[in-house]
Amino acid sequence: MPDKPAPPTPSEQPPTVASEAREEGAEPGERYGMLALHRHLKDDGRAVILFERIEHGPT
Amino acid sequence: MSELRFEELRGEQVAYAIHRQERTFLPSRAHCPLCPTTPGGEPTEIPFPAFEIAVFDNRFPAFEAPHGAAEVVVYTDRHEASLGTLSPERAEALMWVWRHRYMELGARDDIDYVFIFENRGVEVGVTLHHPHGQIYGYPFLPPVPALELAADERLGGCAPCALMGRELNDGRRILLENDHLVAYVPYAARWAYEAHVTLREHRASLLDCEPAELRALAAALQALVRGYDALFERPFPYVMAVHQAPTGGRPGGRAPEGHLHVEFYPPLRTADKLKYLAGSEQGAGTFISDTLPEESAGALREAIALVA
Repeated sequence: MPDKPAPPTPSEQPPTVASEAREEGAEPGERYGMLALHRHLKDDGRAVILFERIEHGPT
Repeated sequence: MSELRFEELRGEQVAYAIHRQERTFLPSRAHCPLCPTTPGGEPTEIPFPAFEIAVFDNRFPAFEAPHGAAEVVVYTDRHEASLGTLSPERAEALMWVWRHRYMELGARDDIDYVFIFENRGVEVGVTLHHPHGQIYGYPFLPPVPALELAADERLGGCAPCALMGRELNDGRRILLENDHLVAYVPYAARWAYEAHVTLREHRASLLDCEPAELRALAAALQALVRGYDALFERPFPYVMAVHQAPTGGRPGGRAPEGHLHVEFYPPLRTADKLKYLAGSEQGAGTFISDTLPEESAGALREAIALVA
C-alpha cells in the first residue's frame, strides 16, 4: 500500500445533486462513491461535512 | 491543544486534553448538540435543519491539527436511533463516509493512524446519546494496531487472515458469515460478548473494498448490533473499533500493512452485570473472564438469528 491513501480520482468528484444543505449555505458539493458531499465552515472555524446518498452509487 | 507525554514504564503515549473536562455531558434531548438546528431553535453543532450523515471537527478534540484530528460522525438527524436501526441504505452510506474520512485524514502528514470508533452507552462513557461515532487521527501509531502488526510478524503473515481461518475451521464461535466476511467471538475473547467482523479477502483498509464488500460490512454490523440488543432485551453498550492499515509510512519506506476488521468490546457479562477492569487487568495486563467464548457465541448467535 502507498505511504498515504490516494486522493479521489476525478471520476469520484463530478458535480453533485442539489440538496437542502446547499440551499442552506453549504459549499457546492463533491461526489465520492455513492455520496454527495457538502463542506461548510462554521463561525468558529470548525469544518462540517454533510454527506447524502445519491440515487445511483457504484454497484 | 493537547499535550503528549511518553510513559516510559509501559512504553506508550498519554494524551493530556484538559479542555475536554468541560465537554457537554449528557444533555437533555432538547439541548442535544448533535440534532439538526431547527429554524428559531437553539444552534447545534450541525447548522442545518436536516441532514443524512454529518461529520464535524470535535469541539473538544483530543487531537487537532497540526498534530492529529478528532471528528464526530453523526449517523442520522434522528435522535432516537442506533447503528442497528438505521436503514440498510444509510448504514451502507456510513461505510462510504468512513472510507472518505480514512482517505482524507490518512493523506495528512500529521496523521499516522486513522481510528474510527463508536462508544455506545453510558457504561462505556458516552456523553451524548444521539447516534454517532468518532474518528481520531493519531500523530503516532497507537499500541493496539502496533500489537496487531507484531502479530503479523509472529504468525508469519496476516494475523486476521490466519485467525479467521482458525475460527472457520473450528466453527463453534462463528456468529454469521457470507461470501464477503465472517463474524465471530474470538478464541481468546477478553470480553464476554466480544465479536470481530473480518473481511474474507485481505483488504488493508476500506479503500481496498469493493462496493459489495462495504454493503456486506454494513449489513453485518447492523445484524450484530441488533443481535446484541436482542440478547438481553436492552440497548447493549459496546465500544466498536475499526482497525485498518496505518497511514503513516516508515521513514524512507512504505506504510505497514493491516487487515480491515471491526472489533466490538461490550462490557456486559450478564443482563445487569458489568465486567470491570480491575487488579489483574489494569495492574498485570491479564484479563480474567467469567464466560467461555463458545458459550457466549452460542447465545449471541441465537439472538442474531432471532432478529434476522
